Amino acid sequence: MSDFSLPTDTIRTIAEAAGLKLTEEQFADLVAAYRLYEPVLARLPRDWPYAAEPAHVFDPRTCMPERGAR
Amino acid sequence: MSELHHLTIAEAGRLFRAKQLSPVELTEAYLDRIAALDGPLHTYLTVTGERALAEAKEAERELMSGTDRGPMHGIPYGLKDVYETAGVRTTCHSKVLEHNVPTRDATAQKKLRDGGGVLLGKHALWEFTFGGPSYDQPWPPAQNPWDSKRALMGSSTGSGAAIAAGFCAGALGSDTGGSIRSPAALCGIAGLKPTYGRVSRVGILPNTFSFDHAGPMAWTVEDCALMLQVIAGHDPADPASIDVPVDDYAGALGTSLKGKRIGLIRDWYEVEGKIWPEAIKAIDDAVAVFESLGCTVEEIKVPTMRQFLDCKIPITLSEIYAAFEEELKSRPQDFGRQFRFRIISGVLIRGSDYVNALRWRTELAKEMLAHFDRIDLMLTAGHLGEPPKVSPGDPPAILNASTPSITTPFNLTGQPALALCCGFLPDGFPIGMQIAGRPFDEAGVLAAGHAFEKATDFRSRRPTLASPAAAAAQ
Repeated sequence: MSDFSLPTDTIRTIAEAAGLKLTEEQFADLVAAYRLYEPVLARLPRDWPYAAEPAHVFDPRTCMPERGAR
Repeated sequence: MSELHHLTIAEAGRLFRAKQLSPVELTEAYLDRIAALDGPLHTYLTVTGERALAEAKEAERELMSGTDRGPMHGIPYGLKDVYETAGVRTTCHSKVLEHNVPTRDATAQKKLRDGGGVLLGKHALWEFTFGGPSYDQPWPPAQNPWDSKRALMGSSTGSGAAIAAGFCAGALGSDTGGSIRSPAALCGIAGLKPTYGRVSRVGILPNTFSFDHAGPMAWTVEDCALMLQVIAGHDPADPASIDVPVDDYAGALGTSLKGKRIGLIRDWYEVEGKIWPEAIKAIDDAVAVFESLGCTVEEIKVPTMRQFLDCKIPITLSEIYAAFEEELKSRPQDFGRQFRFRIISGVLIRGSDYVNALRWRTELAKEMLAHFDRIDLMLTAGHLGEPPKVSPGDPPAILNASTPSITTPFNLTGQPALALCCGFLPDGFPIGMQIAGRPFDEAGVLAAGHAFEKATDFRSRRPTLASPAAAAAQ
């Protein structure tokens, strides 16, 4: 079992902690969908150099009122 | 003169300026055709008939008096119903926004409006650009006019179908993993995902901020160029917008391709993914066309589609879940089951997975774009596999479960990518391919696509529409 094979009970706990109030059918869909995504998460590379930046840029100029206003 | 509803944007514009056609005449032709034939195709969620006629009359008055607002002046177009339109319902094809009437226009819509365009209405899509085809929303999914038995893959479904059916001259779509290019390929039209940052996304409901693009869809590549000319440009209100000069796209269309170097990504559709044998031949034929136009073509090795999709999924799940978290908590039943199924796992994605996927994106993009030290363009298929048959009551499924998407890699790299028709199956269904370029080289991509269309005759074939009565009898 990989780190990403969450037991169903754990999924229920996380979902409830996040504020989701799902019917049993909706919860079953959450579990079923996550099972399909687990292999994707297991393949995600994680051995990055400390300084490897994520592909995000924050430009503070875009928050200036005269630039952000429409 | 062609039938009015089959005029291209370029043709209609020339006729307007020669005073041989009026925008009102053209708008009425589209409205009549939509009223007569859109019933079984469901391409429009909202038709703005009165407004369209008013805009057409104003365009006619201005053009007659010598005022020319540019290539979209007087042109009837549609919008994927994810673009906010002031005073016009914007639903995202979801019960969640069934009665949503924005007070502002999306920036791209504002540019079309200021450019004298005529808004015919809002097009069907996959729910919030991610959940579809869905039969549990207030409106049915759009159908492909070439073959309603093949599911119209998304998400700009209504836009692709409406253009192919002759229900508008062009449309704006959005593309997070191929949502302009997949329906363009499957509907036999042209659709451009511009460079990330080229067209403002302000006022477009989000899917995945990191990959969301806005762009044109039309019958021809030339028309995509004309639409892009109007909507491109820096928007300080969009954090992802990049301040790069806008090229003369229409002017670039006549550029010679002689000496252009094309990298063919064959592994994606012959090794990793499955495609119709006729599509492999169609792309081989396209290679021969480009060679006859003076290009050199070589096969290139790039990261796999699976790598791109694996990188995209944690990012998309995290961002789209965050965008819709409050509604998922307060009214999960109002989302379609397909959409909810695809996004709700976002609650389980760890922050470190999200950041590591964003790190990976940079590396994948570098590996892909490194090829541009010795090529100018990339060529590959436009769609993989046979579109599935989807029926009401089918269980939900995640996207690309068996075969990764052939359009998604270009969302991660951010480079411009154009889908266009490159042939037909023996049963008449269209085959598409993609041409991608360097970041912000939309002009080069469009010039290649336009040259291909001029060298072939694939733009002469249109789908035959069934009357509503005949469609109901099927």
